[in-house]
This record gives sequence, C-alpha cells and structure tokens, in this order.
Amino acid sequence: MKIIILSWISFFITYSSFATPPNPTVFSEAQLKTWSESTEWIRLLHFQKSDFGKFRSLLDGNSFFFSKEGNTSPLAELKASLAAMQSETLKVGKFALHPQCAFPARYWFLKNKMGLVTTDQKCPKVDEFYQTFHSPENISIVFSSAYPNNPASMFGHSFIKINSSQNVDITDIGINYAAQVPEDENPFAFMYFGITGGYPGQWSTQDYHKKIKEYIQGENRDLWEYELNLTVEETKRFIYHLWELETNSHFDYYFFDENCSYQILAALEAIKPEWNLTDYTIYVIPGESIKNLFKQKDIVKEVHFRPSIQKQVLQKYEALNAAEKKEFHSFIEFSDPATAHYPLALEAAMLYFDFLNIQKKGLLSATEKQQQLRILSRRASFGQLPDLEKRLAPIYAETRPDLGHDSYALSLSQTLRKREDAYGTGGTTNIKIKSAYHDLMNNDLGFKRYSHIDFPGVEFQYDTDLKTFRLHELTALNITSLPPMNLLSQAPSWKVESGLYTARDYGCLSCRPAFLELGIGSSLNLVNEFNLVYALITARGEVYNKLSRGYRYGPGLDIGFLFHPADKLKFRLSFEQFWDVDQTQRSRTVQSYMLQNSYFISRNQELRSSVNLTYPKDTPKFRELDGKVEFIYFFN
Amino acid sequence: MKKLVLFAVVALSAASYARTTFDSCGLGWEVTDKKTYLATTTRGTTNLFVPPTFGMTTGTIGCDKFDGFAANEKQNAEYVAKNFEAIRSELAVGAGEYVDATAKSFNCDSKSFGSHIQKNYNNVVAPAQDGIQLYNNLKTAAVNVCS
Repeated sequence: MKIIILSWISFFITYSSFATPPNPTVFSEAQLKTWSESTEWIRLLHFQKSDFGKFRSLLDGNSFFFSKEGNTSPLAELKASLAAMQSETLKVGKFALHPQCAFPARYWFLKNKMGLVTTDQKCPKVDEFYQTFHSPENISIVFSSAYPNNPASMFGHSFIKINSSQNVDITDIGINYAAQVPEDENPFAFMYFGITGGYPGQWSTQDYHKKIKEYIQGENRDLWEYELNLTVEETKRFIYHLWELETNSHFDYYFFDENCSYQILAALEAIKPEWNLTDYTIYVIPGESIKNLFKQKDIVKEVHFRPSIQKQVLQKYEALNAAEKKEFHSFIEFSDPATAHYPLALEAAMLYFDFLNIQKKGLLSATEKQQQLRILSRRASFGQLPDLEKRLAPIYAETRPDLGHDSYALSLSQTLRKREDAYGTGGTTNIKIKSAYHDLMNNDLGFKRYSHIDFPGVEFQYDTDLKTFRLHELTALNITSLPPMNLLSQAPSWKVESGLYTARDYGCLSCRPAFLELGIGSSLNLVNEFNLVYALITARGEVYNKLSRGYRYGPGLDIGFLFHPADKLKFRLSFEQFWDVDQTQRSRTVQSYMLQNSYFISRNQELRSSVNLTYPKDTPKFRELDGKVEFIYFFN
Repeated sequence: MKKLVLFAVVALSAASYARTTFDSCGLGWEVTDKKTYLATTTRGTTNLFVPPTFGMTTGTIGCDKFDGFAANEKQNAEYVAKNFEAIRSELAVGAGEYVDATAKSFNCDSKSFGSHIQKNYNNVVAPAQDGIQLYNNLKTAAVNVCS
C-alpha cells in the first residue's frame, strides 16, 4: 500500500517537474526543518550532536558551508545551500566551481531527495575526475595488517579501492585518507600534533598496484579487501562526496579517533543512511572498525585476501618435496638451473629472489641478478603448468580482522594458593578489566600470531580467607613480539612489560612493586607454524618501599613453548628466572614455572586455566603454588 | 588518560619516525638511492605522504621517465615499469593477474598473450634491463599476437 502511495507521489513530482519550467522551488518552513534533521543531511555535513542537543560539524575548513553559522546549524546551512545551488554566478572551492559542481553529492540530495528544481550546471571537472576510475562498479575497504616491529602501525591501516568494471583488479584506483605532515617535521612535534589534531587530513588517489607494491612487497603486510554491496549510482555519489570534502574543506586528523578508518566509514554512512558504521567508544582501531561492517547484514559482499610477499614465498617453499627443496637450495646458492627438473622449485626460487631484491632495496648484485634471470628463463621453458597451483596449501588467514575477538576484555577468575608461610593456603576471587588488545594465549584468529599488545588493564582481588580486597595487578603497557625465524627472516623476538604486580616470592602478598622488564631473544617454529619455542634474555627493575633497599634489579631468562594443537585449544609452558644483583637475604634467585591452557568457546569468550609455581630458591617458605581458572569475555 | 596511553605508544614509534615525500614515481629507493628506504618504510605505516590531490591527473606527476609516451599510453607504460619484477616473474609462469592486466593494456587475450610471451621469453623478456624496455618489448611482441 505504502509503495503505491509513494509511487503516486513520485509520479506527481515527476509530472509537475515536467509541467513547470525550472524556477526557484519553494519549501515550507516545516519541510525545511524536517529535511534539515534528516539522517542524510546530518551525515552529508558530518554533524555531531552533543549531549546538550547542539550540532557541530567535524569539518574544520570553513569553506564547506554557505551559511555563516553553517557548521553549527543544519537548518541555516540547508537554506543557504538551496540558494547557492540556484545561483548563476557563485564560484566556490579549490577549483572555483559552481556550487553544484563543487558539492555534487549535496546537490544530488537537494535535487533528488528534496525535489529542488533548478537548471543543471555542466561539471566537466567532476566528470573528468569520475572517469579516472574507469566505470566504477562498487568499492572495497582495504585493510592492511599490522606492520611488524613498528608500534605506530600495530593496529593496521585502511583505505579505499574503487572497483572498476573495466579494469583487472590490480589496475583499479585506490583512495587514501592520511594526515598531511610538513616536510622535515621533528618526531616530537609529530607525536604531539598527531594526537591533538594538529595536521589536516587529505584524501588522495593512487593506483592500487602501487599500494600492493608498497604494502605487500615493501612492508611485507597482508591486505584484506572487503567488497561492499553498493550500486553503481551509490558508488558515484560516494566519489562525489569525497570530491566535495577534499576540494572544499578538510578534517583535522586525529590519530586515535578521527583517523583513516573513522573518516572512510563516516563518508560511507553519508551516502548510505541505512548503514550505521561509526558507533565507537573511545578510539577507532582500523581492524576494529572493520568489524562494524558486519554489524548489519549484507554490507559486505565478498572478502579477498592478498598475502604478504613473505607468506607467498613460504607457501611455495613448504609445498616442495625433499628433492625439490634440495634443488631450490642449490638455486639460491647459484648452481646453474639449466638442467633443473622441478618447475615448482624454480617458482619458489623466483619468489625468493624477488623477496631478496626487496630486502636489498633493489640493489641485487650482478651475480644475483644473473641467477634470477637464469631461473626465470628456465621456468619459462616448462610452459604453462596450471596444476602446480593445486599443490599449494592455503595460507592461514590469521590476520583477517573481522574474525578476531573484540578489544576490551573483562575476566573473572578463581585462584587457589598453597604457601608455607603465614599466608598459608587460601583462595581469591579476581576481576580484571583491560582496554586492549591481545595476548599470547588469546585466539590468534584475526591478529598477528605470536604477538602480545596490552594497554592499561587492572586486576582486583578478593581474598576469601584473609577477607581482604586489594589491587592485584596493574598493566601499563605490555608488548611481546615473537616472530619465528625462518628461511626469510631472522628478526629478533622482544618484549616490554611494565606495571604493578604482587611480589609473591618476597613473602608479602600486599607488596605491589612497580616494575619494568625488557627482553630480547629468538623464536623458532617446531614441526609447523602452530608451535613455537622462544628464549629471551631479560633485564628487570622493581621499585617499592618495602623491598629491603627500596628497589631490586637484575638479569633474567624467559623461555617457553607455545603449542596450538587444535583451532580452539592452546597451551603454553614457560620458565622464568630472575637474579637479584644485590643478593639480599630475602631476594636472591627467583624461578617460576607455569603451564597455561586456553579454550576458545566463541569469538568473544575464552576459558583459561593455569598452574603456576613461584620458587624463590633460598627462601623455601615463600614458595607458592597457584591454580587458576579464568573466564574471559571480550566486548567493544 | 586515553591521550596519555596513546602518547606512550606513539612515543615508542618516534625512534623509527622519518619523513619522506611521495612523488608517485614508485617506492623511494626505486628512484633515488637506498638512503630513502627507511623513510619509505615508515611512510606507509604512519600515513604520511602528499600524493597528487583530487582533480590532478593521477599517475605520472614528477616522473619524467614517462614523458616520451603519448598521454593515453603513459598509464600502461607506468604500470609495466612499476611492476617490472612481478610481471617478469608471472610471464615466466605464463599466467597470473599481472599478466592479465598487461595483456589488457595491449587489448590482448590474456591466455594467448601469456603463452606467446612465455615461449619467446628469452627474446622478449630476458633482454629487458628495466621496466620501460620491458614495456617496449612487450608492445612489439603484442602486435604479433593480438592484431
């Protein structure tokens, strides 16, 4: 019924627009008010409503508004925009265009949604821009996985790819949103302005094949393409909207909330009012924002994966049998491939030299270049062998962000403790909350494996025997990175841990020293990529007034084995030792042994158990054996 | 509080921070020397670069290597030149998306193009020292397969 009425109304509108020649359309005050409060209008101008009901646009450049109070009044701006679109002389924006051309998405809304009738202007500049995307079909949001060993990009980056109906995927055009930082900016200024919105953000286009080269090869990152369910017409309006943002104004770039991910989603919402993508709490982590695409049905059409160059080489290498591996190693040691038997070994060697070329910044030696060419040429002589592809095992899609658990965690646990000293045997109930992000025992799906990044977290403890409630642990920042060494990478493993903890070995369960521990070492896969041994040499310092000198410090060891036998199950066995440099009476050598096990109930629920023995070697009465069962719930 | 935490993270990255410009001519080290590589590495991760803005022709600004090509050819030539290694490797295998895109830029059927170039690898691909040479060799070869 509704549809019939609507189509009648639209018939009359269409009919009346034919019947009357273009002349200024008159809207009643009530109509204007209703339209100015519509989701589409609010979003097209990027208004945010404060708790007091006041509007303010997030756009920081002035020229986005035709009305003087346009950035705080949706109604005033609607009236001014209607007038501007009908002007015959007005020129605005970076390219001094008619308002219809400077704001094509806004004009579309006023014309097609509100029914503004006026003479259409010709916009060759906009048409030309649109044509650079070669008949766009829809768009993908591309997520690049974290960049190993750079804390600034531990959370990844996202950008847009405009999917053309004419191009092969890699020759599509991408659109990036990034902070514009002046040349030779010093790092401290960069930190400060990056956080406080001191840099303008800029939208820019770039060939997707260059993006692939930059991320997959240059930085060895994975790319995930989330193709969205948009029509050709919506895609066009999306491009129009980015055009009006970039050529008239800008947003200040805030690294942690109004960043690339936020602005891409906000621009999408502006042309798709039925999608709600930007509900966020405190910060916008690119990988987390990808999850918003799955909060409603049918936003994402398909997901495509592009593995990093290193993953590509290892995939080919792992597919080789013993004889092929032997041949592969002879190739990379420069034996002549002219009589080579195995095309797959040649392909693995080709990729290996590509990887080496990137590692050497494009400066392969003459011998290496010659060998690379001999391998290529020998492989070409085998002809096309499509069946070889079938031998490759699929690459484990660990970094796909929407599959990962959410970032906040709440955990409840029950501990049983056994001690020889006055504290004796007892139990505690613990509650822990942390704001982000992922630890070594969590499910790795969606994250970089063997990495741990934790932001502030706090654990409180209620001691059921001593009837005391206390702060048990406080995490300031914990980062552990355990990249396994392999054919292609000898990157070191390292960790940084800091916070407050309970010094069990010191015979004082109410002592909460502040500590900082740094470690460096190596990791290695055993049997396959799901098992890892690691060994780190550590340096640890603690400060607390009840320690005999007020502090203690010394070297240590951290050795462990991570074992991932099934998708839902993970184990860790670890040993840590700390030598107190001062060798005081109560603190000499402390060892701790731990066995942990986690079981993944669902994406956001985990059950964990552990047994932990704290073993101060010279003070046996301070030994403590703990058993713990923990339930972890992730949320956003 | 939030800002404090985030500040700590950014502080950690400060040591590896470096600034570079992006001239759309490729990764920094491809066009200059290896000194810019560090800068190139951090650029993408901290989102700092100033590429051509909207409304300017994309592709080849600041890259005079391509000035010899006609306007409609520039983009194809640049694509081949930028992806010299990847295209060279895929042509040895005879198929792949880089081959598809290359064939398309010469209006060729990908399968016959891939197979033809693979058979003539030592004459067409192997002698090319750089991407521009590869592009020119492929263009000549394409005339024979795709007319």
